[in-house]
Amino acid sequence: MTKRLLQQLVLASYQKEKLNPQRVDEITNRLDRKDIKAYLRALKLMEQQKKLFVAMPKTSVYNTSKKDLEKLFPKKEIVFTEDPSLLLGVTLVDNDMVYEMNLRDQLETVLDEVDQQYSE
Amino acid sequence: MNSDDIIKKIENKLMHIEGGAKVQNIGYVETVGDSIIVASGLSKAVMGEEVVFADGTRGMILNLDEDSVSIVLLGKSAALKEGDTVKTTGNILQINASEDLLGRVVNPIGLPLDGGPTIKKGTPMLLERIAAGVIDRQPVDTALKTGIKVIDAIIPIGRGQRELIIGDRGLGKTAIAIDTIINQEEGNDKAKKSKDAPKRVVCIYVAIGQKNSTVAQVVEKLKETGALDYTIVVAANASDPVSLQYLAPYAGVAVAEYFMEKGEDVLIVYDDLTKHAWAWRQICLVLKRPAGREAYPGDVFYAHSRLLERAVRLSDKLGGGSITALPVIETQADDISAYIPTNVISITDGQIFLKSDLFNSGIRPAVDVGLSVSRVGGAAQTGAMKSVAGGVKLAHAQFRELQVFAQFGSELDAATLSQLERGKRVNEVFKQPQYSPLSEALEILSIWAVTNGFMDDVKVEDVTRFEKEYHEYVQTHDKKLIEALSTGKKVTDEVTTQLKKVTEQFKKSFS
Ligand SMILES: Nc1ncnc2c1ncn2[C@@H]1O[C@H](COP(=O)(O)OP(=O)(O)OP(=O)(O)O)[C@@H](O)[C@H]1O
Ligand SMILES: [Mg+2]
Repeated sequence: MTKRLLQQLVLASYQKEKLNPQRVDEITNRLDRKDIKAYLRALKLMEQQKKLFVAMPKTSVYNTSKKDLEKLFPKKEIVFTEDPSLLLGVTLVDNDMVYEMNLRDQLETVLDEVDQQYSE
Repeated sequence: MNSDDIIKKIENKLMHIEGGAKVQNIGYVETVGDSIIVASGLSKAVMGEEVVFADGTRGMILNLDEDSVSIVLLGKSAALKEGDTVKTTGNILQINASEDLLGRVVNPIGLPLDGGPTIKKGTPMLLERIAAGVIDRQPVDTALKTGIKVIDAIIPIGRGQRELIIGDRGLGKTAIAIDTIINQEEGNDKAKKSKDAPKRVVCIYVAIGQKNSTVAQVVEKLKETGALDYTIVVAANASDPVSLQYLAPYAGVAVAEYFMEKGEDVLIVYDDLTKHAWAWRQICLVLKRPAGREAYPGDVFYAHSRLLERAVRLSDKLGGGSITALPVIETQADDISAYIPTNVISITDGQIFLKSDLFNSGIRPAVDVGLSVSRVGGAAQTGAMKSVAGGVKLAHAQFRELQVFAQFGSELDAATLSQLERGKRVNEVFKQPQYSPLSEALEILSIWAVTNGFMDDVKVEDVTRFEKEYHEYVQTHDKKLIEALSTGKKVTDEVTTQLKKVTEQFKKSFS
């Protein structure tokens, strides 16, 4: 199966920006095992691209900033996880980009820096 | 350092640590191959960028495809599996270089291999960099003494030159390189004591694809002779990932550039580029790049030329530092017309060709004087060495020609016979054991004596003993003469008269 065909199949699996179960069934019924694997991988990738993963130290903080995030990323489905180890701030994962804007990451950077300077 | 200083330094450092959002590009491992990983994502990665896997293993991007990238691992990782995350670092591969590296053995990404402490943070130097351009260079004019008579006299090497050491297995290629490193000790001592002496030479030995035990022996020898103090060993051995073997020479030259940019002179040995070409071939075959002659990738010439182009003597405006490169190439059955040998010969400024028939007949170092050449070193020879080099070059050339005649068993006249006899003694003087480089004064003594006929009446088998006792005699009886020969200045008539006198005196005592 060519990459182009694969891309067309993936696009055809969607209706109004949502995965359509009947179409997916139709497609998978006509593919062999190996092609199904490639198709599945492409679908997963597509699904991931539609999501924005947000991590914050507290759910309550998220709830107050949810509206703003939705405004910033109107086309994305926002997936939230609570991660107290971030201490303060947020981590955003948009497809293959990661934005670290939290205290834990800052502290780690400082630690790395000190380590390299003073390790013996 | 007291605690206030430390705290101040951290504070300073903190101000330089970038604040704000850190943006990273991530990807997921798709397939795990033999030292090559294919990952999806990483859409912002650039060629040659360093990446880090979740378990801390480092890698480098070598292929960018439409929706995946190929990464070579820069370490061993047993645990990597499909789906693991991998992050970009924003760094093109670099090595941490500082004065601390002297005396150390490190791998191509700067991790210590000698069990010593981690190397403190210094200046990050890029492994891949464009070599200095034409206007940034100046001609080679200072000698880099190897301490090996035949090389210093006939195939002299200058600082900033690229001289290839080429020959079959086990003919003493490494020996020449290591002796040259050991020989820098005297000059480096002088440089420390006097401002007028040539600068010290920092040495870098890059071991590529060798056995661990062979490299350990070399390091041990350098330690024993005290040469390790001014030497850095960069090693990627046969048991290390091929990616590291491929990167080793670039890491070595990156460290060399650190010292050169401070105005220092550096000697770098690549031992050897044949194995480097193998490593690159292996990587390219796994990456499914098209293969050319002898299955090497099409850009293997470029891999070597961009490396050797970085050997240079910088202009005074840029500090006047230099990198002298001694690449080593292994041949099969003395064949220098194979692909990799011809490539590297065409990039270097000359070659020292070692031959198995010479080695087996006891001529060691087994340098084939007729086929070896140094295209720029002559300009760098000291005046002192120049005064005797011409004579010995001629004597050896005549000898090589006459030898061919003599093989036919034809009747030879007395003059020819005496030339032949002298040639045999020149050959004998050019023999030199391993690990015993000579100072220039002693080299000149030997060469002067043999070319001026002072050994004509010494039996060929006694020449080595004669030379040794002669050196000892002059060193104890005429220190002034040794000093005069050590200045590097042209040998004057006065000095020649003194040479004659002392040599005749010595000969009376020699039996
Ligand atoms: N000048 C010399 N006099 C006597 N023996 C020597 C001399 N130079 C080298 N040898 C000996 O020759 C052997 C091979 O030397 P060396 O390892 O330097 O060769 P090589 O060309 O680097 O070999 P390889 O291809 O395995 O790397 C060693 O045993 C060494 O001791
Ligand atoms: Mg060797």
